[in-house]
Amino acid sequence: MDNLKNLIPWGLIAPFLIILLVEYGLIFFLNFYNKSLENEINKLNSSILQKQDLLQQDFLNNPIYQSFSQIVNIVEIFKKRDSLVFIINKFNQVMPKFLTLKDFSYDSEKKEIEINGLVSNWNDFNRFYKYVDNLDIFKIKEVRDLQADEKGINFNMVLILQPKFFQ
Amino acid sequence: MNIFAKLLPIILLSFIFYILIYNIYPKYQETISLIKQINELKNKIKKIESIEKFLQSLNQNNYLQEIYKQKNLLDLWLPTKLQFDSIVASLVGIFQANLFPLKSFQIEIQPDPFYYNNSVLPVKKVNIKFTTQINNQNLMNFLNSFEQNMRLMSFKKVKISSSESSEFVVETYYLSTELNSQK
Repeated sequence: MDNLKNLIPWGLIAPFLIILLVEYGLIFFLNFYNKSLENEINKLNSSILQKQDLLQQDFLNNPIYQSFSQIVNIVEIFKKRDSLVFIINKFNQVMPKFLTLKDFSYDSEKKEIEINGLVSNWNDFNRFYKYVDNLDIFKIKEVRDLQADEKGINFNMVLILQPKFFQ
Repeated sequence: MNIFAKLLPIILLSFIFYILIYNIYPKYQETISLIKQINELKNKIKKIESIEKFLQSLNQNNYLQEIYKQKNLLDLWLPTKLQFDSIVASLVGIFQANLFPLKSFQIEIQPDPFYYNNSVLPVKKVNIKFTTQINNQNLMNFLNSFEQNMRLMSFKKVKISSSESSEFVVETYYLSTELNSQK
């Protein structure tokens, strides 16, 4: 035993042992602290959920907020709504007289007009195509089903409405 | 034994660093992340409290009180429920006024509420689909009747045909009390 005491340099080792003890103390403290933090997080989470539910109910049941929501939505719907009457009137204004319209389709989400038209001959079709192509209120997306018969040239044309159309 | 005694300080030092790197540092990082989470949650609570205050302030806002007095009118434009009967009444009224027969129509309620503005309740969109034979004289009146209807309506898709029946998809709305969980 005396031999061991003499062999181990206690003066040198003691600080290391103290540091180790401090480290274990720190680990113990961090474990305890983290657990208390986790508990706090759980409490906060449940309190937030409760508050959110209550708040949601308050909002949904609050007549003033409902009216406020109604007026805001009404204004937004009016702002975003394109009047079909305006679109058809404007379309009729700009279309040439030599075009006969068989079908007219409008898709408000795509802001597209599709027409099934008839012109008397290929020259008129070329005239019509160039005319529409030069208008800055439309962009030609597609021309299809070109077909000549005894009445003239039938075709389908898809036009994308440009922002200028609505000005 | 002598060699072990000489290596002991080095072994202890290695052990100290091992514990520092593999035990204490990860725990410290965990603590930091937990504290960060707590701060975020506290901020969320503050946000909820500020929204609660906003809700209280709404009740005291004179401008909104005035709007609330027009609730009956607002309910006509944008009802707080589907009100199927008001849709049917609008359709029948418009068709009768324009001397078109209303034979059939379909109603499709969009499943998800639509947010025009994130600060207010969303709306549910209802699509009304119908086909009818129309003539050019009454066409514009017919379209106008929908656009000027008390209950807000807008044309979503139309196919106006000179020879066959014309197809219409008209969109109408009601205030939704279903919220998306993320909002």
